Amino acid sequence: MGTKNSKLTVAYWLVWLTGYGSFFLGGLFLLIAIHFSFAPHHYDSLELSSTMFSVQVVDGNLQTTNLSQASLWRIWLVFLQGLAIFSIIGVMCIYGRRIIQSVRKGKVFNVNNPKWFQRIGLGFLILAALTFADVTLSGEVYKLEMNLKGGYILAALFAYILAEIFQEGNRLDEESKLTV
Amino acid sequence: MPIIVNLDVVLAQRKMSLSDFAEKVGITLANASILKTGKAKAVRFSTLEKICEVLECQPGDILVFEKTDEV
Repeated sequence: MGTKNSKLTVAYWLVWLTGYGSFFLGGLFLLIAIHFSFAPHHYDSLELSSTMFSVQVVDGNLQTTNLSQASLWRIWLVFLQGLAIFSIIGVMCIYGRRIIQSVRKGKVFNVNNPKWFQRIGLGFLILAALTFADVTLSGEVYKLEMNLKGGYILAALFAYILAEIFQEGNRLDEESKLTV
Repeated sequence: MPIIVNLDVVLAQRKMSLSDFAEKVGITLANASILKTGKAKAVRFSTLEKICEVLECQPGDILVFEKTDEV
């Protein structure tokens, strides 16, 4: 008994777009990193931040920037952090898509949904850990800011609570199936 | 579970097949099988009433409580 709820369809495609968009951006990040390794002089006037989801061009008049002189491993750290963040968002979107799909098909309390919610929760926790160290590179300046993102922790908690609710729903569903 | 379903014994005594039983009670064969094999988690009073009517027995003839060590 599937449902043709248009809001669910919109949510499904939004999550689809976010997921594959994340994978695309992660791949782009990796390509930029590889290109940077071979031609660092192209990146002289760029500011890199793994958590800003972008590579920003800084106005030439600003005090920065000579990224090519920064240590390669530090720059790779920023790239890898960004790549990890985008990949995790992409994977979380895959699980989100599966959950929405199961709701669309009318199998709301299936056995997999609690597991997928738990994985989404774990993803949020990893995101919180990854963004705890907010690394920013700007020329020779290497900024490391420590801040705990409360939003990610709350989202993880919410996902874990939903996992518990769906687990209980699954148990009740099984019980009702075995009621004669 | 300490509740034992003796449906197979009662059906054998009445010489009634499971499909006949399911049809007369008005439940699916799958549900009758769940009941017979003891996999059922619950039985509705309405179903129990029909079972007793069809098999001409008391609920106690079908359901037996056996104490186990589990709490």
